[in-house]
Amino acid sequence: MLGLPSSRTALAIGLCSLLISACGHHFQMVTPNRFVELDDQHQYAMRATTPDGVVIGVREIDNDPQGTLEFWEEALSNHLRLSEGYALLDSIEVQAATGQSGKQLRFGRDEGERPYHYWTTLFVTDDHIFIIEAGGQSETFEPMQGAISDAISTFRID
Amino acid sequence: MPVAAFQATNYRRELSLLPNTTRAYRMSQGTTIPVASRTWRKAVGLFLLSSLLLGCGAASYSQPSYPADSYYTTAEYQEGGALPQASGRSSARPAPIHVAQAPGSGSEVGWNAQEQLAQVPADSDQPGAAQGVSPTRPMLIYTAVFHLSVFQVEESQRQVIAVAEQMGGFLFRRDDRSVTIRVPAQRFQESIDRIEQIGDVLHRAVEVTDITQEYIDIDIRLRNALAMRDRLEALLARAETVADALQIERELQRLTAEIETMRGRLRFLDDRMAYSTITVSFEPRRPSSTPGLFRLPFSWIYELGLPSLLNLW
Repeated sequence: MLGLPSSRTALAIGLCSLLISACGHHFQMVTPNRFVELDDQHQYAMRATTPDGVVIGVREIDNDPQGTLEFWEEALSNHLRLSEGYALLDSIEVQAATGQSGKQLRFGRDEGERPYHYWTTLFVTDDHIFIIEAGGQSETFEPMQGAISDAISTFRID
Repeated sequence: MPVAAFQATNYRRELSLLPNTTRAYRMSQGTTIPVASRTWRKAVGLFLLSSLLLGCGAASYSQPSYPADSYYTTAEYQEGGALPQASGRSSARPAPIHVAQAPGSGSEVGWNAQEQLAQVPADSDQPGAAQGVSPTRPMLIYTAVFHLSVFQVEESQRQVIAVAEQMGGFLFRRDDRSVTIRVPAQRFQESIDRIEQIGDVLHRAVEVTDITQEYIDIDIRLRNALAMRDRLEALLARAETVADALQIERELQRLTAEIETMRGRLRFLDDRMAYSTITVSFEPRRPSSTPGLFRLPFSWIYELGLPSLLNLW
């Protein structure tokens, strides 16, 4: 009988830790200056915005089936370019604060008559794909590029 | 005398100029018909019949043969082969004329398909005047379609039009999402090289159409028709009766319409050969328009993009 409470306790602790693990994220990133982080962002693990419509968001997706950084980079680039008409303006190597190599694809696209910028930064581990998206209308996005790059450089993968 | 000018008044005037023996017939009275006219009718009938047969059957020629390296196809280009610079046909030719003079005047541009045909006087009345026509090289029409990314569309369109102007071409059509230019065929390759620098090219298709056979067919039929027209005009001048004259005139009218149609088609082909057409579209090819297109089974990829990121609600 004495063992029961300890079993319950162990089970409760186990379930609790499982929930934290499921609900939690496997990254950390400093929110850039002038951005406000938003709650309950559904498909985004984190999303923040400026008052004038520059948005940064992070998606965390299971790397299943497991693909390499090159695979996901090509899949993402093909879809955005060929199906959505985004212009691939640049492709640069980046590195997470924890040392993982990643790829940043810088796209441009007109929405209505106005040009927009859209960056996707990709980090891939055995278990997860992290996609940091940043975008906004060119005239408001361009002044924020430095702050966005700085924030991405603080990205840590747990 | 141009056939189109054959109005009823002219016809009457010509009749009045005929020798006295044939002027025995007067249109206003229409009662005196010389005996000799029956023979004329037969002659006219036989002539028309033989002319029609000639028109259908005389357009024979031997199929031209070209050196293998002078013939280009879409497939070759898509596999990475270079399109012709057209240096072979452009080097010895004058530079293209100014844009403003180009539309609709293929025979005025720097390179004219007619030059490729052996010179046979168009107004020759020699039977079988078209015999001996032979092309010296294939007659090709170049067209290209580009899909560029949808970014800074207006500026990109301006750059495409600038390419056309720099190449000696002109803007052909423009709307919100596409622009079509015409450039001299000699500078087709150079033009598409420059357009590829303007934006992110999502898709390209280059097509080369060989119109040699069609061109030669029409050219031969035109020459035969012109020769027949000359003979009909000569026959009309000697017609003795109204019935004969009207019959010839009807045939002349039919022939005139045919001649104009053929000339129009040749002008069109000349123009298409002299100026290549390049369309630049700023729309991606939608998957829905190409059923069976490969799609990755990762739904999150299709959620990426600005609309999803920027919609904070």
